[in-house]
Amino acid sequence: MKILVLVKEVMDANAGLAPSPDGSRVLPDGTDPVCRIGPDDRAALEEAVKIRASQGSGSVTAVTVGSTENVNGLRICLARGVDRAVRIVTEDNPYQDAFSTARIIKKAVEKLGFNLILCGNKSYDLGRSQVGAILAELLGIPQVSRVVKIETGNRTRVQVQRRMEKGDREIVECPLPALLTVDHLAGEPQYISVNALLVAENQPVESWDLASLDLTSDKLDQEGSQTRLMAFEPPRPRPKKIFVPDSSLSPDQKINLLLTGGLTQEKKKGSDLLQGSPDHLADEIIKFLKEKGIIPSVSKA
Amino acid sequence: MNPAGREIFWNIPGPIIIGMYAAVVLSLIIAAIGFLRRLSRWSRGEKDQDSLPWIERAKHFLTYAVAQVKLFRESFSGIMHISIFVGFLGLFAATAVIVLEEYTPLVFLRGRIYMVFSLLSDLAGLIFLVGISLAIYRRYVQRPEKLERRRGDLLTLGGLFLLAFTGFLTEAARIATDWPGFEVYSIGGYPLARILDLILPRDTRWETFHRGLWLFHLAFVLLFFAFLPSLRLTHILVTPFNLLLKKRPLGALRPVLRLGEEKILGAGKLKNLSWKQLLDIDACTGCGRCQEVCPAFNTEKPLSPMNVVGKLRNLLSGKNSPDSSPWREVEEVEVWNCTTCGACEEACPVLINHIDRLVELRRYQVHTGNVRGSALRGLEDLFYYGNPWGHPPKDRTLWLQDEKVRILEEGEETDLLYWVGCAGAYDPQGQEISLALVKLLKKAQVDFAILGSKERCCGDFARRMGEEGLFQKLARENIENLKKYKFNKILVNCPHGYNTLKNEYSKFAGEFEIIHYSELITQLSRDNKIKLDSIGEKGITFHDPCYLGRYNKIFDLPRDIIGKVPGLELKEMAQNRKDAFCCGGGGGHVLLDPQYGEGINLRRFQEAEDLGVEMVVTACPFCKMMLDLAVTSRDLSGKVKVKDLAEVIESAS
Repeated sequence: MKILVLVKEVMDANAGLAPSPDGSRVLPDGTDPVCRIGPDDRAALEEAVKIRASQGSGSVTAVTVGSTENVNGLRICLARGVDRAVRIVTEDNPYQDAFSTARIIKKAVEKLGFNLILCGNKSYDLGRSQVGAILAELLGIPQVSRVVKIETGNRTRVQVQRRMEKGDREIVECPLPALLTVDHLAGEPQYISVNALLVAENQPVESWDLASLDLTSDKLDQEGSQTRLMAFEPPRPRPKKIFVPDSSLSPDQKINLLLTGGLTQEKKKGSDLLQGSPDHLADEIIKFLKEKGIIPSVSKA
Repeated sequence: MNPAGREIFWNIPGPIIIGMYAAVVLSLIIAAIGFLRRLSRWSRGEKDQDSLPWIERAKHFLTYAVAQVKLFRESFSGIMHISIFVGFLGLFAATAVIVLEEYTPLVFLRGRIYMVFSLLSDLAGLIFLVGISLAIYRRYVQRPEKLERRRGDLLTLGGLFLLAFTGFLTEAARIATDWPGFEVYSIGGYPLARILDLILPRDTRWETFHRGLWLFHLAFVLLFFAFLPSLRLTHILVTPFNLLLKKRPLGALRPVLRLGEEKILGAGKLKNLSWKQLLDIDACTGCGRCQEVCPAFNTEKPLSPMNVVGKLRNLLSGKNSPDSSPWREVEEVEVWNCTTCGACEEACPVLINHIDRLVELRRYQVHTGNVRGSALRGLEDLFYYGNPWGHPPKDRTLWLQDEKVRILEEGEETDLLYWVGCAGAYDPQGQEISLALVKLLKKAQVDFAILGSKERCCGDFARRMGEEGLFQKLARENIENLKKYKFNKILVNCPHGYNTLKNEYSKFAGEFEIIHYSELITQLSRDNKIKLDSIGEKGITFHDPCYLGRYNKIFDLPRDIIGKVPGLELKEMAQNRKDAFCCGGGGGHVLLDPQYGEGINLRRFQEAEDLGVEMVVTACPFCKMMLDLAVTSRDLSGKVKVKDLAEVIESAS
C-alpha cells in the first residue's frame, strides 16, 4: 500500500512567539524558535508507519509544504522511518490559506500516486482543520476526520474509529483511496531519539518547486486563495469567573461553596460522599448497584 | 638421627607420577580451553575507550584484591573469605616450594627450615579448612537471603573442603607409617595421624592407605583445575583482572562515539556491551551486597543488580552468547527502576560497574522508541525546550522575581558564573535554593552572574535515561555557549549538574573549573565573608545526595558547614555518607511515575523521622523535592522541614 503523510512544520507557541509589530505574522519573541510537527501530524506519521509494518510491505512518503529552511518536520518523518521525504518549496508566504495549500498538495500527491493519505486533524499553529478536507474534495476521494484507530485488513477498504464527544467512538468504513485526518489521541507515539534524527540527516529530502507541479505563486495567489489573513493579536486574558453563592444559604454553606468554587453544590443533587470502613463502603456500593439494577440481586437460597 | 625432611614423592611409584603429570597437563588444558572460551566471548564485546590511570588501578588491586577491604564491611564473610584466600595462597606457595625442591638443584627443605615449612603449610591448610567450613556454615546454615544460589555451589564448597581434608589425611597416613619426631610441627597432619592411629585397626597397612589417599587428593586437585574457569571458582581468575582493568569510576557511563551512524544504539545484543562490561558480568561472585543496599530492591521494586548480572551471565555462558539478546532474560522494568544512586557499585567488593551496563540497556529501549508516559514527555520536552519539565526557555529567569542578578552578555566578564540548572530555574522547591544562594552570594559580595535564558539543561536527565544523543546535543550546545563568556569558575548547586559539568563535559572539550557551593561557602566562611548565627532549629540531619557524595566524594564539607551554625545539632541517619540511601529521584526518577512498591523517598525519610529531627538538610533540589514529598505524605508538614543547605546557610548568615 502506498501511503502519503502530510506534515506541517510549525513554530511552537509554547517556546515563545509574539505577533510582529505590524500584526501580519507571528515571530519568535527573542529566544530561538522551536520548530516541530504538531501532535496530530505526529500521530498521522505514527499510524502510517504502523500500517506499513502491519502489512509487511508498502511505502510511506512524507510530504510538506514550506521553505527550504523547514528541515525539522521531514527529518522527524525520516527518523521515524518513512521511505521518502518530499518538500514542496513555496516562496515566503507562511500563511497562505488552506485552499491554496491543498491545491499545491493535490498536484504533488497526484504526481506521487497513493492508496491512502494521512494527515493531522489540526495543525499545531493555526489549527484550522481545513487542508485535509479541501484536499479530499479536490481529489474526489472520501475523507474521515478525527481518526483515532485505523484498520486496513482489506486492501480495498479501510475501517476507522472516529473520535466523538465525551469519549464516544464512531466506526466508519470507506473505500480506498481515501484521506484520513488523524487525532493525537490515536495513541502515544514512539520516541524519536536524537541519534535517529542525526541518521536522518544523511537521508535525502527531495525538493520540488512549484514549476515542477505546473503552478506559479502568482496563479495561486490570484486564483487559489479564498481567504486572506488580516492580522494576529495576542489573546486577551480571560476574566476568571468568581463564584457567587446563593444569598439565602447559611453562612456555613456559603463559606463551603466559596472554598470549593461552587463544587459542593453537586452534593445536593442526591449524590453522597460515602465514608467508613472498606467493608462498609463495598456493601454500600453493592447496595447502590443493586438498587439501580446494574447488577442483579441474588436471593439467598 | 636423620635431619628433618622428607622424600617428595615418597611411596608413589614412578609410573603413577608420570600418570599424575599427564593428568595435570590434561586438566590444565581443560582449564585453559574454558578460560579461552570466556576470553573469546569477552573479546566479542565492543571497544571501551575509557580508562583509569594505572596508579589508581594498582591501588584498586591492592585495596580490593589483596586487602579485600570491602569484604570486611561484614566481619563474618570478611574473615571467611580472607581465610580461604590466605590459606589458598599459602598452600599454593607450599606447592611451589616443593616444586623448587624437587626439580631444581636447590636442596633446602631440611632440618629447621623443613620444620618451619611444615608448620606454615599445615597452618595454611588449616586456615583454608576453617574458611571453607565458615563458607559452608554461611551458605547452608545461616543462609542469608541475599546470597545468589547457583548450580554447583555444593560441589564447589564440598570439593574444596575434601581437597584440603584429603591432603591432611595423606599427610597423616605418611606420618603414621614411621612417626618421625620432627613431624610434630605438622600441626594438622600430626594430630590427625594420632587420631587415625587410635581409631583404625592395628594392622592397618599405612603405605597402601597413604597411596589410596594420595590418589584421592590428586583427583580433587585435578577437578579443581578443570573446573577453575567455571562454577564460582571463576572469580579466582577473573576478579583480579576486573579490578586491574577497571574502566570508569563509580556511576560513570560509557560515552557513545558513533552517534548518527547506526539507528539503534545500546545493548540489543550482548556484544553491544563493551568487553569490560562483559568481563564485569563474569566477575560477579553473587555475594548479594549490591542487592542488599539497592534502594529499588529494598522497596519491593523489580530490580536487583545481582539478578540482572546473573541473567546476563546465564546468557553469556549459553550458545552463541555474544549474539544473543539480553532481553531474552532481562525485563524492561528492571532497567527502568534503577535510580543510578551508585550504592551497588559502592558495595561491590570486586568493583563491578552496574550503572553503565543498565544505562546501555536503557539506551537500547530509548533507541527502539520504547519510552512511555512521563519518560517520553520528559525527553521530548527536554529536546524541544531544553528542560525536562517543558517550560519555555524564556521563563528561565522567572525564579529571580524581584532579585536583581546580572545576566551575562556575550564577551562580558565575571569571576563566578552561577549555573542555576533546570530545577533551580523552574521548580518551586529548586527556586527556593537558587534564591537563597543568590542572596548569600550578594551578602558575601561575590562577583557573580548567570546565563539567564541561554542556559540549557546540563543533560543529566537525558544521559541517565539512556538518551545519549540528546545528552551530547545539550552538552555541545552548553559548552559552545559557555565558551562565549569570560569567567573563572562555574558555581553549581545541583549535584547532578555539578557531576555532569565537572566529570562529563571534559569528554566533549568542555574543560571548566567547577565548584559546588559547599566548597564556596567553606571558603567564604574561612575568609570571614559570611558570619553564621543560630536559626532556631536544633535537631537536624543531613541527607547525602548520591551525586554529591558517592559520585564526587563530598561528604565532610556540608557537615563542616552545618557545624559552623551555632545551635545546630547534627544527628546522622543509620545509612549515611557513602552508604547513604537514595532519595529516589536520581536516574530520571524525579520525573518518572513510581509504579512498584513503596516510595524510596518514604523509606529514606523514615530514617530521618526515627531520629526525631526538626529539619532534614540536603544539598540537591531533587533530594529536596523527594523528601519534601515524603514529609507531605507522612502528614508531617510543619513539623519536619526539608531544606537545602544553601537555604539554611542563607537564613543563618
